[in-house]
Amino acid sequence: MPPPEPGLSAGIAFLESRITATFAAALLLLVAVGGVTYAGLQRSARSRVVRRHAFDVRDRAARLALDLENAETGQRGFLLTGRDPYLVPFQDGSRAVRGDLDSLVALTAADSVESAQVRTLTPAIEAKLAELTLTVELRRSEGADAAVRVVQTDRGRVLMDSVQRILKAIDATERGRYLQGDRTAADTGWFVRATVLTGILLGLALLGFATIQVRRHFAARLGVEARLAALSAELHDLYERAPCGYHSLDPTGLVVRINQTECRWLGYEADELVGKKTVFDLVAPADRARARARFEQLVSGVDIGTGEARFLRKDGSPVAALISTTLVRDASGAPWRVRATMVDQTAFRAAKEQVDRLNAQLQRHVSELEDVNQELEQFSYSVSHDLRAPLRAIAGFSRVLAAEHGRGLDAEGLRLLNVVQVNVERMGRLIDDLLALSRFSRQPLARVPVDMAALVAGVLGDRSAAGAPRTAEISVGPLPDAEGDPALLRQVWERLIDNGVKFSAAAPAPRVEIGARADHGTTVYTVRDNGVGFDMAYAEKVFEVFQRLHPQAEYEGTGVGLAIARRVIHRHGGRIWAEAAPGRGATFFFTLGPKGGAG
Amino acid sequence: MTDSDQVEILLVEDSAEDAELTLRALKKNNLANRIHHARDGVEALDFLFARGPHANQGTLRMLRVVLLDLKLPRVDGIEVLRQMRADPRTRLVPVVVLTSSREDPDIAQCYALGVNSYIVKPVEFEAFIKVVSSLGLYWLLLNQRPQ
Repeated sequence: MPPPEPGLSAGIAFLESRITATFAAALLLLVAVGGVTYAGLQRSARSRVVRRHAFDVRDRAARLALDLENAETGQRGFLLTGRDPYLVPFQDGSRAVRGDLDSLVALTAADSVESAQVRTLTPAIEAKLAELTLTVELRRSEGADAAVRVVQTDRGRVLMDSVQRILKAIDATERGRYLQGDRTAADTGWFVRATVLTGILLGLALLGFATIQVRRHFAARLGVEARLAALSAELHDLYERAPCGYHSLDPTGLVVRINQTECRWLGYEADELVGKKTVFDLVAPADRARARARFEQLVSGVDIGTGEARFLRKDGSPVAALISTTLVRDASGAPWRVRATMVDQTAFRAAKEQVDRLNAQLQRHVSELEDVNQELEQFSYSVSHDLRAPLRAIAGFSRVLAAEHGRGLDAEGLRLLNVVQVNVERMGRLIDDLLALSRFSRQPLARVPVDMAALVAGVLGDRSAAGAPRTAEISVGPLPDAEGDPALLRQVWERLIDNGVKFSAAAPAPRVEIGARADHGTTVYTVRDNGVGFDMAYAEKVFEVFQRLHPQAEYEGTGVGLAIARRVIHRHGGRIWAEAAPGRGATFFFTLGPKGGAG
Repeated sequence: MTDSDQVEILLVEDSAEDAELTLRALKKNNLANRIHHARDGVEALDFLFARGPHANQGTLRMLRVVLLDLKLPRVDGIEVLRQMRADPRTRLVPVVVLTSSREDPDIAQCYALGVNSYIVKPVEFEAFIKVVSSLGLYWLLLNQRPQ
């Protein structure tokens, strides 16, 4: 099956590549949006950890400050009162402070900046706790005054301030980190939202574009399918009604498809054969073994070319056919189908027999024609001899009579004798002309370049040399060269010039004009006279043998001259014709056939 | 006729009328007594090659020309010509063919066999003179002493 029109399939391929490209773009977009979103979420998660850490550190630091204040409040109460219950907050606070410090150290161990800050906190807190413990011990051992003196040195406040300062610094650091994490989270959130939104918009656009492309693709496909369907219908029609038979066989020889032409030849309906009969059932029994052998050769992969086989019609009559077969293989390379083209040879053979018969007939006719020709030749010969012999005697002896006994005859006797002589001479010329006509018809035709001007000059020269009557004034125009048989063409000029001179003789100023003109690439030679002319009703008759348009008594002639001219022209493949009017002269025209034309 | 030694013209012609007319034409010019007339090809060959009735004849030293008709009984003119041209004794004797018509297809064959000229019958004296002139025989044939 031929491919659909190239423009269509190219259009479809273009559409398909566009669709593929659109989907690839959509995929890329999806990956990009996904990547950006994932990275944003990661970043967001990281910033949450940062903020959580900052929160934790600040919380511990705040708790530490609170616990330290509790311990100091307990110390103050004890210093003032000296009662033990005040020692409980002091001791709890001191313990809590240590716990807070430990957890701060642990919390910030991973961060050099924080751990450095926390490291400065430890000695400050230890110093403060040591001062608190010292004052509590003094109160218990030496009384309130000794402890108050220590308190009045302000060292406790200084130490406390130092701790407070460090804690404030830590708080400032963490607050900064918290805010930065917050900003990062906000930025990331904005970026991710923008990306996702853009991605969705772009994705929608691509989806729309792809939809359009797919729809166009489908429309194009439908168009191609419609054309393929039409083509398939056409092929089916061609297959079924081809002037040769087609059939397909499976590798066992079973008919799987057969066209109507072959069915008609064989006289079956297709469904009588398809799936029911093998090709060997259809071959004439005498050819069956050979057909099977050839079929097996073909299936085994040997090219068997074209062969002849006789088939049997359903009615048992034979059909001679030429069969060309090809093996079709399936995708795996195994024999799948045998396809055959069958040409009915019955008609061909009949035609060939007919041609042979006609040829034989033709051959018979040719040999008959040859016989006739030979007879004609012999006839011409005997005419020239046997018809002339008595004529000669009449002519000769009447001449002798006139010469030797003329004196014994009176005037009437001499006139009658003269009539005899004139007629004998005329008959001699007639026989000569008839023989010339026959000879010019049969003699082989030469095809050589002919100088027409020289030929005409030769004819005119011979006329004056032979003492022909110079009644007419003869003019010769330019004559182009020709191709033909010079001897025969000379006859044409002789006869036409003779004719012109003869029939113009009675004119007051007899004139014969010889010339030529070009007509559609052909040279037309002309001989024009100003003589008696003739009625155009007889224009064809002038060229016929023995046809005379004027009385013999007025114009001497045999009635063969123009017939000879016509025969020669026809043998050259040319045309000769005349135009005339009674009393107004006649013009003879002739052309020669194309070079190398009819012989 | 005359003694073969004296024969100057051999006329080979089967038609009595044609022969008579030819002889008349030549007789008028005092040539008849130097002519030998053969009626067919066999007679002509016997005369030329001294056979049969002519076995004892003398030489043909005076023979100037043979006037040969082509259509002859028994042996035809073409055959006579062929044999003449094949024999050294007669090879150089001029032969003029007598023909019924200028259209005679045998003329071409005669030229191929070495014929010298032809005359269309009836042989009129003027035509004969023209041919013998062209063959250079004129003076030999005609300027003889009168009979």
